[in-house]
Amino acid sequence: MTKENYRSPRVGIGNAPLMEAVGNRQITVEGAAGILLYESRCVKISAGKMVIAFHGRGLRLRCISGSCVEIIGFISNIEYLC
Amino acid sequence: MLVDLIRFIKGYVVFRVVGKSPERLLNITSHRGVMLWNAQPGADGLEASVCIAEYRSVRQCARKAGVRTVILQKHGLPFWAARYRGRTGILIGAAIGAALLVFLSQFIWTVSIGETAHVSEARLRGLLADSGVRAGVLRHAVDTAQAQRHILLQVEELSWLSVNIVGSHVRVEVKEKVPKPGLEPNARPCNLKAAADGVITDMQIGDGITQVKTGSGVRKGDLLVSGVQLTAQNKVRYICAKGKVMADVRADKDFFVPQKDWRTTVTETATRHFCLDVMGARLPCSLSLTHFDSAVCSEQTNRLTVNDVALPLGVVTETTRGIQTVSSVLTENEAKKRLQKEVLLWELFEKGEGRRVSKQLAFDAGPAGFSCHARCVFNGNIAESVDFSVEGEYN
Repeated sequence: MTKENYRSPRVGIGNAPLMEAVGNRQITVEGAAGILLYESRCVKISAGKMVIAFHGRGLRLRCISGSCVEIIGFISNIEYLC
Repeated sequence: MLVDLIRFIKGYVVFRVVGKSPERLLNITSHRGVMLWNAQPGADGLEASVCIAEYRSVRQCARKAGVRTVILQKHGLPFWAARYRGRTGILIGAAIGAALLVFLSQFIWTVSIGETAHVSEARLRGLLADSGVRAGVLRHAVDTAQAQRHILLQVEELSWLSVNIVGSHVRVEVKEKVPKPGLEPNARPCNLKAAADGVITDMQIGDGITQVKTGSGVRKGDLLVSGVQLTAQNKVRYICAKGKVMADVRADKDFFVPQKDWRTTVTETATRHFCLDVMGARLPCSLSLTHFDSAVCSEQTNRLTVNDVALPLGVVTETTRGIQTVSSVLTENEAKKRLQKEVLLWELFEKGEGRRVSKQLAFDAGPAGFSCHARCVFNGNIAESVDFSVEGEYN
């Protein structure tokens, strides 16, 4: 297996965010531009041309960096607002 | 865990963001590379934690975001140290304590030895001390390999020994040699003969032809069990006779105690000398001026023990008693008691193997002292193996 296989899929699809989910308990969003709303029942993240809304219970931002946000909690619904 | 430790050392504050849009603060801080953690929405606003070094940046970001920050809690070493800034004694004490801990950790505190069946612990401790393995020596100065070699050469009963240094504790693991099983020598032809005069009470014969019966009397040297056996083919076979022949044997002995007795005893007066034992070094704590021409000295060490571990800190008590020789004239009762004791010792150490069946003591008092004639009957094994040579081949 070469290094090419490990390259992020974002390379091929422009500036679309990359989301990695572990069940419905943890989601990592790469390519996030900012946080629009942060509540325990809803987290809205700006990701370029779209806004992604995560609904659930006990939602928390575990890690916030320049382009990456990690959300933990009980996620019941993911909504794309384009 | 490590991250928490680093945060504690650097110090951090928990703050609340009050304002219209606290999310803006998160965005600005993340873009500026200010590390926030534990950001969680609360009823009164967003709460988060940040290192104290970055809190100034957070306030600048808050001003830009149009929100206000309020410190809720302060944690970490800088705040803790600031609380005790006025109490330098505590800091100096802590520093001295830490230095003392590091310094004392360089020494051996305790030496423990694994269980042994035949080699005494005191002997091993002595040999370890000779090799430089004892409480109070520098840990790095201990040559474990040399100590192992030295002790294995000195103690023949040991097959393996390991000296392990764990922190300030020396653990000595020992393994004793397994004794060789008692191999029966080549069965040379032998008879069983009586070792003493007696009356046979019981016989347990393994090999050989029994020549006597229970109840018969035998004299010393009489043949009890013969090693010459006649086979079914009328051939003579020479074997080693084995067995036990129990017999009642009479034993007589005279004991004598002089009337005037010289006895060496210790005096009632004793002097005690105390020493403080710290890591093997003894610091005298008392002074005694009493002098004895001849004296016996006993030593007792009481060590401080924590969790069943004897620490190298204790009090050594040296008790010295003088020796004196006193003469006394024995009364008849005293003489009888002493003679009875001597008879008991004779039974125990000279006739220990046999069971005593009867005992008669006859006391007599003379001008020089008291005498006692002991007449006892012991029941024991009188069979003794006596080899005999056979000319020619035998099987």
